[in-house]
Amino acid sequence: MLVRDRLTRRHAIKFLLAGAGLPLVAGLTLPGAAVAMANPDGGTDSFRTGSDRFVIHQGWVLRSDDLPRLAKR
Amino acid sequence: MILDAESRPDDNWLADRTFDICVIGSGPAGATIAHRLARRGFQVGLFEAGGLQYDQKSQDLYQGTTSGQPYYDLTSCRLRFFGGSSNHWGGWTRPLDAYDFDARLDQPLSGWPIYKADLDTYAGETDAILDLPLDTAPADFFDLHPDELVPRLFRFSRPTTRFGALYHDDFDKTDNIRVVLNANLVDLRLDDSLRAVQSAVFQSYDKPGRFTVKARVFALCLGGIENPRFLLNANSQINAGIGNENDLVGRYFLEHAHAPVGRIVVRKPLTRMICYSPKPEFMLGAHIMNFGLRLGSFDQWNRGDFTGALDPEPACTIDFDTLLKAEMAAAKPACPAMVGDAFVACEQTLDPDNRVTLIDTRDRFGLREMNLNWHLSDTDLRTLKTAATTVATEMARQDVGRMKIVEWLANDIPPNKDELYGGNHHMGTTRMSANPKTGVVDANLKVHSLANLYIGGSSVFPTSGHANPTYSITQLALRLGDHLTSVLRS
Repeated sequence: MLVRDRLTRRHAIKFLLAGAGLPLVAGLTLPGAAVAMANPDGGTDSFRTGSDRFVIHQGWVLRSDDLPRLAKR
Repeated sequence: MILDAESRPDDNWLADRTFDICVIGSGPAGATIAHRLARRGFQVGLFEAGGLQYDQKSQDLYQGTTSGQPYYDLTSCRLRFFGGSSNHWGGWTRPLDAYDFDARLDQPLSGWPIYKADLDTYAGETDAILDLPLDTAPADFFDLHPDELVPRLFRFSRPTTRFGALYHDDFDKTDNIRVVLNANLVDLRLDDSLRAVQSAVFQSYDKPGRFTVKARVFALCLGGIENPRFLLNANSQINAGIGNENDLVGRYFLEHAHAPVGRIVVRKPLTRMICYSPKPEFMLGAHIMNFGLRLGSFDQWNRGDFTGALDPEPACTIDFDTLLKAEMAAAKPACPAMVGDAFVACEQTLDPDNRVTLIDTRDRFGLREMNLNWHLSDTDLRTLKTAATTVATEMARQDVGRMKIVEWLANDIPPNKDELYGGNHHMGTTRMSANPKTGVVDANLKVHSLANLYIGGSSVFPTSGHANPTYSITQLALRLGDHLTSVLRS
Protein backbone atom coordinates (compact mmCIF):
# COMPACT_ATOMS: atom_id res chain seq x y z
CA MET A 1 0.00 0.00 0.00
CA LEU A 2 1.20 3.44 -0.84
CA VAL A 3 1.25 5.76 2.12
CA ARG A 4 2.69 9.20 1.65
CA ASP A 5 4.41 10.81 4.58
CA ARG A 6 6.25 13.66 2.90
CA LEU A 7 6.01 15.90 -0.11
CA THR A 8 7.90 14.95 -3.20
CA ARG A 9 10.53 17.35 -4.42
CA ARG A 10 8.38 18.23 -7.42
CA HIS A 11 5.46 19.13 -5.21
CA ALA A 12 7.57 21.12 -2.80
CA ILE A 13 8.94 23.29 -5.58
CA LYS A 14 5.50 23.80 -7.04
CA PHE A 15 4.03 24.86 -3.73
CA LEU A 16 6.87 27.23 -2.96
CA LEU A 17 6.28 28.98 -6.25
CA ALA A 18 2.59 29.21 -5.55
CA GLY A 19 3.19 30.56 -2.08
CA ALA A 20 5.33 33.31 -3.54
CA GLY A 21 2.51 34.23 -5.91
CA LEU A 22 4.64 33.57 -8.95
CA PRO A 23 3.08 32.43 -12.20
CA LEU A 24 3.64 28.72 -12.57
CA VAL A 25 3.17 28.38 -16.29
CA ALA A 26 4.85 30.70 -18.74
CA GLY A 27 2.27 32.89 -20.43
CA LEU A 28 -0.51 31.91 -18.07
CA THR A 29 -3.07 34.68 -17.90
CA LEU A 30 -4.92 34.98 -14.64
CA PRO A 31 -8.31 36.67 -14.72
CA GLY A 32 -7.34 39.00 -11.89
CA ALA A 33 -8.69 42.09 -13.59
CA ALA A 34 -11.97 40.40 -14.30
CA VAL A 35 -12.30 39.02 -10.80
CA ALA A 36 -11.85 42.49 -9.34
CA MET A 37 -14.43 43.96 -11.69
CA ALA A 38 -17.84 44.99 -10.53
CA ASN A 39 -20.43 47.35 -11.87
CA PRO A 40 -22.78 47.98 -8.98
CA ASP A 41 -24.53 50.81 -10.77
CA GLY A 42 -25.41 48.54 -13.64
CA GLY A 43 -23.13 50.52 -15.92
CA THR A 44 -20.30 49.31 -18.07
CA ASP A 45 -16.72 48.60 -17.03
CA SER A 46 -13.91 47.25 -19.10
CA PHE A 47 -10.89 45.07 -18.50
CA ARG A 48 -8.13 43.42 -20.45
CA THR A 49 -6.65 39.96 -20.27
CA GLY A 50 -3.62 39.63 -22.47
CA SER A 51 -4.28 41.52 -25.67
CA ASP A 52 -8.05 41.11 -25.50
CA ARG A 53 -10.39 43.75 -24.15
CA PHE A 54 -13.74 42.93 -22.59
CA VAL A 55 -16.55 44.87 -21.00
CA ILE A 56 -18.90 43.95 -18.20
CA HIS A 57 -22.34 45.33 -18.83
CA GLN A 58 -25.10 44.60 -16.32
CA GLY A 59 -23.26 41.44 -15.35
CA TRP A 60 -22.70 40.23 -18.94
CA VAL A 61 -19.08 39.60 -19.87
CA LEU A 62 -18.87 40.85 -23.46
CA ARG A 63 -16.31 41.47 -26.15
CA SER A 64 -15.48 45.14 -26.55
CA ASP A 65 -17.28 45.36 -29.88
CA ASP A 66 -20.49 43.67 -28.70
CA LEU A 67 -22.33 46.69 -27.34
CA PRO A 68 -21.82 48.96 -30.39
CA ARG A 69 -22.87 46.11 -32.67
CA LEU A 70 -25.95 45.23 -30.66
CA ALA A 71 -26.95 48.89 -30.42
CA LYS A 72 -27.30 49.05 -34.21
CA ARG A 73 -29.80 46.20 -34.29
CA MET B 1 -29.89 -12.63 8.04
CA ILE B 2 -31.84 -9.55 8.97
CA LEU B 3 -33.03 -9.13 12.54
CA ASP B 4 -34.92 -6.46 14.44
CA ALA B 5 -33.62 -5.22 17.79
CA GLU B 6 -37.15 -4.20 18.69
CA SER B 7 -38.20 -7.85 18.82
CA ARG B 8 -35.11 -9.25 20.51
CA PRO B 9 -35.98 -11.88 23.17
CA ASP B 10 -33.85 -10.22 25.83
CA ASP B 11 -30.86 -7.94 26.24
CA ASN B 12 -28.42 -10.89 26.21
CA TRP B 13 -29.46 -12.10 22.76
CA LEU B 14 -26.02 -11.44 21.26
CA ALA B 15 -23.95 -11.88 24.40
CA ASP B 16 -22.65 -15.34 23.52
CA ARG B 17 -20.90 -14.29 20.30
CA THR B 18 -17.95 -12.14 19.34
CA PHE B 19 -18.24 -10.81 15.81
CA ASP B 20 -15.13 -10.44 13.72
CA ILE B 21 -16.39 -6.98 12.89
CA CYS B 22 -19.18 -4.79 14.16
CA VAL B 23 -20.16 -2.26 11.46
CA ILE B 24 -22.36 0.56 12.66
CA GLY B 25 -24.38 2.32 9.98
CA SER B 26 -25.66 0.83 6.71
CA GLY B 27 -25.07 3.67 4.25
CA PRO B 28 -22.64 3.43 1.32
CA ALA B 29 -19.61 2.99 3.58
CA GLY B 30 -21.03 0.60 6.18
CA ALA B 31 -22.97 -1.59 3.74
CA THR B 32 -19.98 -1.90 1.43
CA ILE B 33 -17.58 -2.87 4.23
CA ALA B 34 -20.06 -5.36 5.72
CA HIS B 35 -20.80 -6.95 2.36
CA ARG B 36 -17.12 -7.31 1.47
CA LEU B 37 -16.18 -8.95 4.74
CA ALA B 38 -19.25 -11.19 4.85
CA ARG B 39 -18.41 -12.52 1.38
CA ARG B 40 -14.97 -13.39 2.67
CA GLY B 41 -16.44 -15.54 5.40
CA PHE B 42 -16.03 -13.29 8.42
CA GLN B 43 -18.64 -13.07 11.14
CA VAL B 44 -20.16 -9.66 10.53
CA GLY B 45 -22.62 -7.67 12.60
CA LEU B 46 -24.18 -4.70 10.77
CA PHE B 47 -26.18 -2.41 13.01
CA GLU B 48 -28.61 0.12 11.58
CA ALA B 49 -30.41 2.70 13.71
CA GLY B 50 -33.51 2.76 11.52
CA GLY B 51 -35.71 0.13 9.95
CA LEU B 52 -36.05 -0.99 6.37
CA GLN B 53 -38.13 2.08 5.52
CA TYR B 54 -38.24 5.74 6.47
CA ASP B 55 -39.64 6.27 9.93
CA GLN B 56 -40.14 9.64 11.60
CA LYS B 57 -39.13 8.42 15.05
CA SER B 58 -35.73 7.49 13.70
CA GLN B 59 -35.37 10.57 11.53
CA ASP B 60 -36.19 12.85 14.48
CA LEU B 61 -32.94 11.75 16.10
CA TYR B 62 -31.12 13.88 13.52
CA GLN B 63 -32.41 17.06 15.11
CA GLY B 64 -29.85 19.75 15.79
CA THR B 65 -29.09 23.39 15.21
CA THR B 66 -27.06 25.27 12.62
CA SER B 67 -25.14 28.54 12.63
CA GLY B 68 -23.22 30.62 10.13
CA GLN B 69 -24.22 30.38 6.47
CA PRO B 70 -27.88 29.25 6.27
CA TYR B 71 -27.96 25.47 6.05
CA TYR B 72 -30.50 22.75 5.57
CA ASP B 73 -32.71 21.37 8.32
CA LEU B 74 -30.51 18.63 9.77
CA THR B 75 -33.41 16.18 9.75
CA SER B 76 -33.83 16.54 6.00
CA CYS B 77 -30.28 16.55 4.61
CA ARG B 78 -29.56 12.89 5.46
CA LEU B 79 -31.60 9.72 5.99
CA ARG B 80 -31.64 7.42 8.99
CA PHE B 81 -32.78 4.00 7.78
CA PHE B 82 -31.39 0.93 6.01
CA GLY B 83 -29.15 2.16 3.20
CA GLY B 84 -28.65 5.53 4.90
CA SER B 85 -28.44 8.68 2.83
CA SER B 86 -27.99 6.69 -0.37
CA ASN B 87 -31.79 6.53 -0.23
CA HIS B 88 -31.97 10.12 -1.47
CA TRP B 89 -28.63 10.29 -3.28
CA GLY B 90 -28.78 12.10 -6.63
CA GLY B 91 -26.47 9.62 -8.38
CA TRP B 92 -23.79 12.07 -9.56
CA THR B 93 -20.29 10.61 -9.49
CA ARG B 94 -16.72 11.66 -10.15
CA PRO B 95 -13.51 10.38 -8.65
CA LEU B 96 -11.32 12.93 -6.94
CA ASP B 97 -8.66 14.55 -9.12
CA ALA B 98 -5.05 13.46 -8.56
CA TYR B 99 -4.08 16.89 -7.29
CA ASP B 100 -6.88 16.81 -4.71
CA PHE B 101 -4.58 14.49 -2.77
CA ASP B 102 -1.67 16.95 -2.80
CA ALA B 103 -0.64 19.20 0.04
CA ARG B 104 -0.68 22.93 -0.69
CA LEU B 105 1.51 25.34 1.22
CA ASP B 106 -1.22 27.96 1.07
CA GLN B 107 -3.69 25.50 2.64
CA PRO B 108 -2.34 24.29 5.98
CA LEU B 109 -3.31 20.69 6.84
CA SER B 110 -4.18 19.93 3.22
CA GLY B 111 -2.95 16.73 1.60
CA TRP B 112 -4.06 13.14 1.94
CA PRO B 113 -1.79 10.45 3.41
CA ILE B 114 -2.63 8.27 0.41
CA TYR B 115 -2.41 8.71 -3.34
CA LYS B 116 -5.20 8.69 -5.89
CA ALA B 117 -3.64 5.45 -7.15
CA ASP B 118 -4.55 3.83 -3.83
CA LEU B 119 -8.23 4.45 -4.64
CA ASP B 120 -8.03 3.89 -8.39
CA THR B 121 -7.42 0.22 -7.59
CA TYR B 122 -11.08 0.08 -6.66
CA ALA B 123 -12.49 2.04 -9.60
CA GLY B 124 -13.76 -1.01 -11.45
CA GLU B 125 -15.58 -2.43 -8.45
CA THR B 126 -16.98 0.98 -7.59
CA ASP B 127 -18.25 1.41 -11.15
CA ALA B 128 -20.00 -1.95 -10.87
CA ILE B 129 -21.57 -1.20 -7.47
CA LEU B 130 -22.83 2.18 -8.66
CA ASP B 131 -23.80 0.76 -12.07
CA LEU B 132 -21.94 3.45 -13.98
CA PRO B 133 -21.27 3.81 -17.70
CA LEU B 134 -17.72 3.72 -19.02
CA ASP B 135 -15.34 6.41 -17.83
CA THR B 136 -14.47 8.21 -21.07
CA ALA B 137 -12.56 11.43 -21.54
CA PRO B 138 -14.98 14.33 -22.01
CA ALA B 139 -14.74 16.47 -25.12
CA ASP B 140 -13.93 20.13 -24.68
CA PHE B 141 -17.16 21.37 -26.21
CA PHE B 142 -15.99 24.99 -26.39
CA ASP B 143 -12.25 24.39 -26.73
CA LEU B 144 -11.55 26.94 -24.02
CA HIS B 145 -8.20 28.20 -22.73
CA PRO B 146 -5.95 25.18 -22.28
CA ASP B 147 -3.76 26.78 -19.61
CA GLU B 148 -6.56 27.37 -17.14
CA LEU B 149 -9.40 24.90 -17.51
CA VAL B 150 -9.91 21.25 -18.16
CA PRO B 151 -13.21 19.56 -19.10
CA ARG B 152 -14.47 17.06 -16.56
CA LEU B 153 -16.89 14.18 -16.84
CA PHE B 154 -19.68 13.33 -14.45
CA ARG B 155 -21.15 9.86 -14.62
CA PHE B 156 -24.58 9.05 -13.28
CA SER B 157 -25.79 6.07 -11.32
CA ARG B 158 -29.06 5.26 -13.10
CA PRO B 159 -31.24 3.94 -11.70
CA THR B 160 -29.49 5.37 -8.67
CA THR B 161 -27.92 2.76 -6.44
CA ARG B 162 -29.61 2.51 -3.06
CA PHE B 163 -27.27 0.51 -0.89
CA GLY B 164 -30.03 -0.99 1.24
CA ALA B 165 -31.90 -2.34 -1.76
CA LEU B 166 -28.64 -3.43 -3.40
CA TYR B 167 -27.54 -5.67 -0.55
CA HIS B 168 -30.81 -6.58 1.18
CA ASP B 169 -31.27 -10.02 -0.36
CA ASP B 170 -27.60 -10.95 -0.04
CA PHE B 171 -27.59 -9.95 3.59
CA ASP B 172 -30.84 -11.76 4.31
CA LYS B 173 -29.68 -15.12 2.95
CA THR B 174 -26.12 -15.01 4.27
CA ASP B 175 -25.59 -16.88 7.51
CA ASN B 176 -22.38 -15.18 8.61
CA ILE B 177 -23.85 -11.69 8.69
CA ARG B 178 -26.37 -10.38 11.18
CA VAL B 179 -28.04 -7.16 10.10
CA VAL B 180 -29.76 -5.70 13.13
CA LEU B 181 -32.34 -2.97 12.49
CA ASN B 182 -33.57 -0.38 14.98
CA ALA B 183 -30.25 -0.58 16.81
CA ASN B 184 -29.19 2.87 18.00
CA LEU B 185 -25.58 3.12 19.09
CA VAL B 186 -25.44 4.76 22.51
CA ASP B 187 -21.92 3.96 23.72
CA LEU B 188 -18.62 2.33 22.88
CA ARG B 189 -16.94 0.70 25.86
CA LEU B 190 -13.15 0.67 25.99
CA ASP B 191 -10.89 -1.79 27.77
CA ASP B 192 -9.05 -0.82 30.94
CA SER B 193 -6.10 0.57 29.00
CA LEU B 194 -8.47 2.81 27.01
CA ARG B 195 -6.62 1.64 23.89
CA ALA B 196 -9.23 -0.67 22.36
CA VAL B 197 -12.99 -0.91 21.98
CA GLN B 198 -14.41 -3.92 23.82
CA SER B 199 -18.07 -3.57 23.00
CA ALA B 200 -20.75 -1.41 21.49
CA VAL B 201 -23.95 -0.64 23.36
CA PHE B 202 -27.26 -0.31 21.52
CA GLN B 203 -30.81 0.62 22.34
CA SER B 204 -33.99 0.21 20.32
CA TYR B 205 -36.95 2.59 20.40
CA ASP B 206 -39.77 1.01 22.32
CA LYS B 207 -38.36 -2.08 24.01
CA PRO B 208 -36.66 -0.98 27.24
CA GLY B 209 -33.10 -1.94 28.06
CA ARG B 210 -29.82 -1.95 26.19
CA PHE B 211 -27.81 -4.72 24.59
CA THR B 212 -24.09 -5.14 24.13
CA VAL B 213 -22.18 -6.36 21.10
CA LYS B 214 -18.62 -7.65 21.23
CA ALA B 215 -16.31 -7.74 18.22
CA ARG B 216 -12.66 -7.89 17.27
CA VAL B 217 -12.85 -4.66 15.32
CA PHE B 218 -15.45 -1.93 14.99
CA ALA B 219 -16.25 0.34 12.05
CA LEU B 220 -18.18 3.55 12.68
CA CYS B 221 -20.07 4.57 9.52
CA LEU B 222 -22.76 6.96 10.67
CA GLY B 223 -22.18 9.80 8.21
CA GLY B 224 -20.17 13.01 8.18
CA ILE B 225 -22.20 14.71 10.89
CA GLU B 226 -23.14 11.76 13.10
CA ASN B 227 -19.66 10.22 13.25
CA PRO B 228 -18.25 13.22 15.15
CA ARG B 229 -21.46 13.72 17.12
CA PHE B 230 -21.26 10.17 18.41
CA LEU B 231 -17.52 10.29 19.18
CA LEU B 232 -17.95 13.53 21.14
CA ASN B 233 -20.83 11.95 23.04
CA ALA B 234 -18.78 8.83 23.81
CA ASN B 235 -17.31 10.36 26.95
CA SER B 236 -18.20 7.77 29.58
CA GLN B 237 -14.51 6.84 29.91
CA ILE B 238 -12.69 9.69 28.14
CA ASN B 239 -13.97 13.17 28.95
CA ALA B 240 -13.15 14.72 25.59
CA GLY B 241 -14.75 11.87 23.68
CA ILE B 242 -13.25 8.98 21.77
CA GLY B 243 -10.51 9.90 19.30
CA ASN B 244 -10.57 13.52 20.38
CA GLU B 245 -7.22 13.76 22.15
CA ASN B 246 -6.18 16.62 19.88
CA ASP B 247 -9.52 18.43 19.74
CA LEU B 248 -10.02 17.50 16.10
CA VAL B 249 -13.25 15.51 16.19
CA GLY B 250 -15.97 17.58 14.57
CA ARG B 251 -13.61 20.27 13.25
CA TYR B 252 -12.78 21.05 9.63
CA PHE B 253 -16.29 20.31 8.41
CA LEU B 254 -16.35 20.59 4.63
CA GLU B 255 -19.20 21.10 2.21
CA HIS B 256 -19.26 21.81 -1.49
CA ALA B 257 -20.55 25.35 -1.87
CA HIS B 258 -23.14 25.22 -4.66
CA ALA B 259 -24.23 28.35 -6.50
CA PRO B 260 -26.03 29.25 -9.71
CA VAL B 261 -23.54 31.75 -11.11
CA GLY B 262 -24.96 32.87 -14.42
CA ARG B 263 -26.90 32.57 -17.66
CA ILE B 264 -25.34 31.78 -21.01
CA VAL B 265 -26.15 32.33 -24.67
CA VAL B 266 -24.19 30.10 -27.05
CA ARG B 267 -23.56 29.94 -30.78
CA LYS B 268 -24.01 26.20 -31.13
CA PRO B 269 -26.65 24.22 -29.29
CA LEU B 270 -25.76 22.52 -26.05
CA THR B 271 -26.36 18.81 -26.33
CA ARG B 272 -24.74 17.74 -23.07
CA MET B 273 -23.94 19.25 -19.73
CA ILE B 274 -20.38 20.55 -19.86
CA CYS B 275 -18.19 20.81 -16.79
CA TYR B 276 -14.93 22.75 -16.49
CA SER B 277 -12.47 22.55 -13.63
CA PRO B 278 -9.28 24.51 -12.99
CA LYS B 279 -5.91 23.04 -13.80
CA PRO B 280 -3.75 22.70 -10.68
CA GLU B 281 -1.32 25.38 -11.81
CA PHE B 282 -4.21 27.78 -12.21
CA MET B 283 -5.57 26.92 -8.76
CA LEU B 284 -2.22 27.53 -7.13
CA GLY B 285 -1.42 30.69 -9.06
CA ALA B 286 -4.83 32.25 -8.50
CA HIS B 287 -5.03 31.02 -4.89
CA ILE B 288 -8.36 29.35 -5.41
CA MET B 289 -9.78 25.95 -4.60
CA ASN B 290 -10.92 23.24 -6.98
CA PHE B 291 -14.29 23.70 -8.64
CA GLY B 292 -16.62 22.24 -11.23
CA LEU B 293 -18.48 24.78 -13.35
CA ARG B 294 -21.39 23.24 -15.22
CA LEU B 295 -23.04 24.63 -18.30
CA GLY B 296 -26.43 23.28 -19.27
CA SER B 297 -29.95 23.37 -17.93
CA PHE B 298 -30.53 23.73 -14.22
CA ASP B 299 -34.01 22.22 -14.51
CA GLN B 300 -32.77 19.20 -16.43
CA TRP B 301 -29.75 18.29 -14.35
CA ASN B 302 -31.88 18.30 -11.22
CA ARG B 303 -34.07 15.53 -12.61
CA GLY B 304 -33.65 12.07 -11.15
CA ASP B 305 -33.13 10.54 -14.59
CA PHE B 306 -30.52 13.01 -15.85
CA THR B 307 -27.57 11.26 -17.48
CA GLY B 308 -25.64 14.21 -18.86
CA ALA B 309 -27.45 14.56 -22.19
CA LEU B 310 -29.69 17.58 -22.57
CA ASP B 311 -33.17 17.27 -24.04
CA PRO B 312 -33.17 17.77 -27.82
CA GLU B 313 -34.58 21.17 -28.70
CA PRO B 314 -35.98 22.39 -32.05
CA ALA B 315 -33.40 23.82 -34.45
CA CYS B 316 -32.92 27.53 -34.00
CA THR B 317 -32.99 29.95 -36.92
CA ILE B 318 -32.58 33.12 -34.88
CA ASP B 319 -29.14 34.68 -35.17
CA PHE B 320 -26.80 34.94 -32.19
CA ASP B 321 -26.98 38.72 -31.76
CA THR B 322 -30.76 38.70 -31.64
CA LEU B 323 -30.70 35.94 -29.04
CA LEU B 324 -28.06 37.72 -26.99
CA LYS B 325 -29.94 40.99 -27.09
CA ALA B 326 -33.16 39.27 -26.01
CA GLU B 327 -31.43 37.45 -23.18
CA MET B 328 -29.78 40.69 -22.04
CA ALA B 329 -33.27 42.19 -21.89
CA ALA B 330 -34.36 39.17 -19.81
CA ALA B 331 -36.85 38.12 -22.49
CA LYS B 332 -38.19 34.57 -22.56
CA PRO B 333 -35.71 32.47 -24.58
CA ALA B 334 -36.89 31.89 -28.11
CA CYS B 335 -34.36 29.12 -28.67
CA PRO B 336 -33.98 26.99 -25.53
CA ALA B 337 -31.13 25.02 -27.09
CA MET B 338 -28.99 28.16 -27.32
CA VAL B 339 -29.41 29.44 -23.76
CA GLY B 340 -28.64 27.83 -20.47
CA ASP B 341 -27.42 28.04 -16.92
CA ALA B 342 -23.99 28.20 -15.33
CA PHE B 343 -23.56 26.59 -11.95
CA VAL B 344 -20.55 26.02 -9.71
CA ALA B 345 -19.80 23.49 -7.00
CA CYS B 346 -16.53 24.31 -5.31
CA GLU B 347 -14.11 22.91 -2.78
CA GLN B 348 -13.87 24.70 0.54
CA THR B 349 -10.83 25.85 2.44
CA LEU B 350 -10.01 24.07 5.68
CA ASP B 351 -11.34 25.97 8.70
CA PRO B 352 -11.31 24.55 12.25
CA ASP B 353 -14.32 26.71 13.14
CA ASN B 354 -16.48 24.95 10.57
CA ARG B 355 -17.44 22.24 12.96
CA VAL B 356 -19.86 19.97 14.77
CA THR B 357 -20.21 20.73 18.48
CA LEU B 358 -22.53 19.31 21.11
CA ILE B 359 -25.35 21.38 22.58
CA ASP B 360 -27.16 20.88 25.89
CA THR B 361 -30.36 19.42 24.44
CA ARG B 362 -30.43 15.63 24.65
CA ASP B 363 -32.13 13.12 22.41
CA ARG B 364 -34.42 10.31 23.59
CA PHE B 365 -31.38 8.11 24.31
CA GLY B 366 -29.62 10.72 26.43
CA LEU B 367 -27.03 11.72 23.81
CA ARG B 368 -26.46 15.43 23.31
CA GLU B 369 -27.68 16.94 20.07
CA MET B 370 -25.31 19.00 17.97
CA ASN B 371 -24.78 22.31 16.28
CA LEU B 372 -23.29 22.55 12.83
CA ASN B 373 -21.39 25.76 12.17
CA TRP B 374 -20.69 26.39 8.51
CA HIS B 375 -19.40 29.48 6.82
CA LEU B 376 -17.44 30.36 3.73
CA SER B 377 -14.02 31.95 3.56
CA ASP B 378 -12.89 34.77 1.30
CA THR B 379 -11.02 32.13 -0.70
CA ASP B 380 -14.20 30.13 -1.16
CA LEU B 381 -16.05 33.16 -2.50
CA ARG B 382 -13.07 34.10 -4.67
CA THR B 383 -13.13 30.59 -6.10
CA LEU B 384 -16.77 30.94 -7.11
CA LYS B 385 -16.12 34.33 -8.66
CA THR B 386 -12.97 33.22 -10.44
CA ALA B 387 -14.76 30.19 -11.83
CA ALA B 388 -17.58 32.28 -13.25
CA THR B 389 -15.36 35.06 -14.52
CA THR B 390 -12.84 32.76 -16.14
CA VAL B 391 -15.43 30.76 -18.05
CA ALA B 392 -17.37 33.90 -19.00
CA THR B 393 -14.21 35.59 -20.26
CA GLU B 394 -13.07 32.57 -22.21
CA MET B 395 -16.49 32.13 -23.81
CA ALA B 396 -16.32 35.72 -25.01
CA ARG B 397 -12.67 35.43 -26.05
CA GLN B 398 -13.35 32.34 -28.13
CA ASP B 399 -16.62 33.90 -29.30
CA VAL B 400 -18.50 30.68 -28.55
CA GLY B 401 -21.07 32.49 -26.42
CA ARG B 402 -21.59 35.06 -23.70
CA MET B 403 -22.31 34.68 -20.01
CA LYS B 404 -23.98 36.89 -17.44
CA ILE B 405 -22.65 36.61 -13.90
CA VAL B 406 -25.27 36.78 -11.18
CA GLU B 407 -25.47 40.09 -9.36
CA TRP B 408 -24.38 39.04 -5.88
CA LEU B 409 -21.25 37.38 -7.21
CA ALA B 410 -20.35 40.16 -9.63
CA ASN B 411 -20.78 42.84 -7.00
CA ASP B 412 -19.52 41.06 -3.87
CA ILE B 413 -22.90 41.09 -2.14
CA PRO B 414 -23.31 38.44 0.58
CA PRO B 415 -25.39 35.61 -0.94
CA ASN B 416 -28.73 34.57 0.49
CA LYS B 417 -29.71 30.95 1.01
CA ASP B 418 -31.24 30.66 -2.45
CA GLU B 419 -28.06 31.94 -4.08
CA LEU B 420 -25.49 29.77 -2.32
CA TYR B 421 -26.07 26.49 -0.52
CA GLY B 422 -24.50 23.17 0.36
CA GLY B 423 -24.69 19.96 -1.59
CA ASN B 424 -25.65 17.72 1.33
CA HIS B 425 -22.03 16.57 1.28
CA HIS B 426 -20.80 16.26 4.86
CA MET B 427 -17.06 15.76 4.99
CA GLY B 428 -13.89 16.29 6.98
CA THR B 429 -15.05 15.95 10.58
CA THR B 430 -12.86 12.93 11.48
CA ARG B 431 -10.10 13.78 9.07
CA MET B 432 -7.42 11.40 7.84
CA SER B 433 -3.76 12.18 8.46
CA ALA B 434 -0.57 10.22 8.95
CA ASN B 435 0.10 12.48 11.94
CA PRO B 436 -2.13 12.00 15.01
CA LYS B 437 -1.71 15.69 15.79
CA THR B 438 -3.49 16.64 12.58
CA GLY B 439 -5.95 13.83 12.05
CA VAL B 440 -8.43 11.59 13.84
CA VAL B 441 -7.77 8.52 11.68
CA ASP B 442 -4.64 7.24 9.98
CA ALA B 443 -4.16 6.28 6.33
CA ASN B 444 -5.91 2.95 7.03
CA LEU B 445 -8.87 4.80 8.58
CA LYS B 446 -8.06 3.51 12.07
CA VAL B 447 -8.60 5.97 14.91
CA HIS B 448 -5.07 6.94 15.89
CA SER B 449 -5.52 6.40 19.60
CA LEU B 450 -7.33 3.05 19.45
CA ALA B 451 -6.24 -0.35 18.23
CA ASN B 452 -9.49 -1.56 16.70
CA LEU B 453 -11.81 1.33 15.86
CA TYR B 454 -12.12 2.35 12.19
CA ILE B 455 -14.18 5.05 10.55
CA GLY B 456 -15.87 4.84 7.17
CA GLY B 457 -17.47 7.56 5.07
CA SER B 458 -16.69 11.09 3.96
CA SER B 459 -15.92 12.31 7.48
CA VAL B 460 -12.40 10.96 6.89
CA PHE B 461 -11.77 13.18 3.84
CA PRO B 462 -8.92 15.59 4.73
CA THR B 463 -9.93 17.80 1.81
CA SER B 464 -12.88 17.51 -0.51
CA GLY B 465 -12.00 18.44 -4.08
CA HIS B 466 -15.12 19.38 -5.99
CA ALA B 467 -16.33 15.87 -6.85
CA ASN B 468 -19.51 14.53 -5.31
CA PRO B 469 -18.33 12.22 -2.51
CA THR B 470 -20.20 8.93 -2.92
CA TYR B 471 -17.75 7.53 -5.46
CA SER B 472 -14.77 8.16 -3.18
CA ILE B 473 -16.71 6.92 -0.14
CA THR B 474 -17.28 3.62 -1.92
CA GLN B 475 -13.65 3.34 -3.02
CA LEU B 476 -12.47 4.01 0.54
CA ALA B 477 -14.92 1.45 1.93
CA LEU B 478 -13.65 -1.25 -0.44
CA ARG B 479 -10.09 -0.37 0.49
CA LEU B 480 -10.94 -0.50 4.20
CA GLY B 481 -12.59 -3.87 3.61
CA ASP B 482 -9.33 -5.16 2.17
CA HIS B 483 -7.30 -3.73 5.01
CA LEU B 484 -9.61 -5.26 7.62
CA THR B 485 -9.39 -8.59 5.82
CA SER B 486 -5.64 -8.62 6.38
CA VAL B 487 -6.05 -7.39 9.97
CA LEU B 488 -8.59 -10.07 10.82
CA ARG B 489 -6.54 -12.81 9.18
CA SER B 490 -3.34 -11.84 10.97
